[in-house]
Amino acid sequence: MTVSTDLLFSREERAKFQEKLIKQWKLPLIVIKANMPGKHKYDPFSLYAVTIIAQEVLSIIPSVHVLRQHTAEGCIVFVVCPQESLSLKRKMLDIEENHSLGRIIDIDVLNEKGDLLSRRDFGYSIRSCYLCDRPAYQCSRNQTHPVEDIESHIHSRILDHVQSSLKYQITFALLAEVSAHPKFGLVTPFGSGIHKDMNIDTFIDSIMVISGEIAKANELIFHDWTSYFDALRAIGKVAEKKMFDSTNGINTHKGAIFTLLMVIGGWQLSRTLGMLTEKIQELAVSLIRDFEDIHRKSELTEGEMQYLASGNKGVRGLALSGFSPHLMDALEFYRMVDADINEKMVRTLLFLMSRLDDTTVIKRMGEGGLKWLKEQSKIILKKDIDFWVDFDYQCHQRNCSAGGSADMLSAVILLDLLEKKEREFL
Amino acid sequence: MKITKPAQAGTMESNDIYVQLLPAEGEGIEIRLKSVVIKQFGKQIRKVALETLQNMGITECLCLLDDKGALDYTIAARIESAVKRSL
Repeated sequence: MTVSTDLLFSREERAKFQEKLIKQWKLPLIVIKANMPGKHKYDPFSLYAVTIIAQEVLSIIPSVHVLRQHTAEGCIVFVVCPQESLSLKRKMLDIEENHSLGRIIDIDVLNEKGDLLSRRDFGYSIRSCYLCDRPAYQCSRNQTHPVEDIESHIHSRILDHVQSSLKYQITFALLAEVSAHPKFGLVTPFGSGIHKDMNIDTFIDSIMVISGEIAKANELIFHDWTSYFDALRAIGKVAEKKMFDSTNGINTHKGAIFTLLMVIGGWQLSRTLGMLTEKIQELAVSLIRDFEDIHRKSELTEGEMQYLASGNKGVRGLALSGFSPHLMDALEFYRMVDADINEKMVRTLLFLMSRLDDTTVIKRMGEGGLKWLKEQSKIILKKDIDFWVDFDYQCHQRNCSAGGSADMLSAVILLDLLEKKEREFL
Repeated sequence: MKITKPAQAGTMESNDIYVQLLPAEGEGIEIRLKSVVIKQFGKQIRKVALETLQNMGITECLCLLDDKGALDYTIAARIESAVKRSL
């Protein structure tokens, strides 16, 4: 099957699924999906837009059941809603018309009989083209604009939203990381990798509650490094608790929370890539206390046990060195890859996997496994994407999951956004 | 080939087309089209539909189309699906 027939098939399956939901609940159904042309249906941009709009929808209407599907069509959110369908449609049209991401999203409303309500029944005209004033269907049928122009316009509009606050920047970075595929044992939209206890929904649920919390790092006022570190750590603890509450106790983002807070903390005080490493190092000095206090702890984490066994300081060690050289090297690499965002991310992940002494890898594969992973990642990085599938399979067979590299990838994506935004002001 | 077993393909969503293939009521291929863009593209949609059916060797059927702005490749793919499901 080609990309397009996969999509058409998914759509039919979804229509049947929707029918089933309506028969089951006998209530109106809201279906939120991206409205973007082009082949790359499941990508960070569409996932971000759908997730943000879904959050907006859920904030203004009651729901009895919410679920997501992740397919060739992208991420689709279904909301079963105990409210009268006509008033629902009006509210959804309001979001489509007035939210800055509204144009890029389709919010379908089906009544309890399964009929799709049309915007034309509410006095709204059919949607106009993204790039000109003609009706959208005309430009799409006549292929008036090259797909790249439309894609680039849509990405631009989404990035405007992303760059409008630190919370959204963090949300985008974390959603982007989880959307990347294949991921060599880590969780993707299409599979949980080697993890039996979590999937992409666990990750998205976590992201939606921790992003706002991590963004509070923006509100801190610097007095001295120790109190600044302690304040960041306090934010981290709250974020962790919210994460565990949203995932029913599954650790999706502990490492990411730590890494992002260290990077944001350092960034607040440097505002340039040149000074960042140094500021993270100064901030990280407070971590030395953790290693000194280790013998007082009754319960050690995996990372702490590895430190005692081999001296590997794990992610704290990375922070002490200011994540140097990996963070800056990976950012440079990420920016240099001339391909779509998914390929940029997967290649950057391979880059990181080839360089980091990832304690999450050692935990699952031992030191020998880490060595294998670093060597193989380096080899695969030089080859083209046809080689990814096989490497992905091999990593699954070996119980591989480079969590540390994934966390670092989120940090790279976030740093890319932060630095670009900073440059706009110069 | 004549269509004897009814079959459907597609959905009622934007940018899609819902295809129903039924045994012919008269002779030959009969296409009945309902479309949100019937004025601008009605002729083109019928052309694609007819060509797709003919290319698959269909000589007799009743083809009902409910179009919500589908592109040509979608129309062709949906008709192909319906034919395959009917045979």
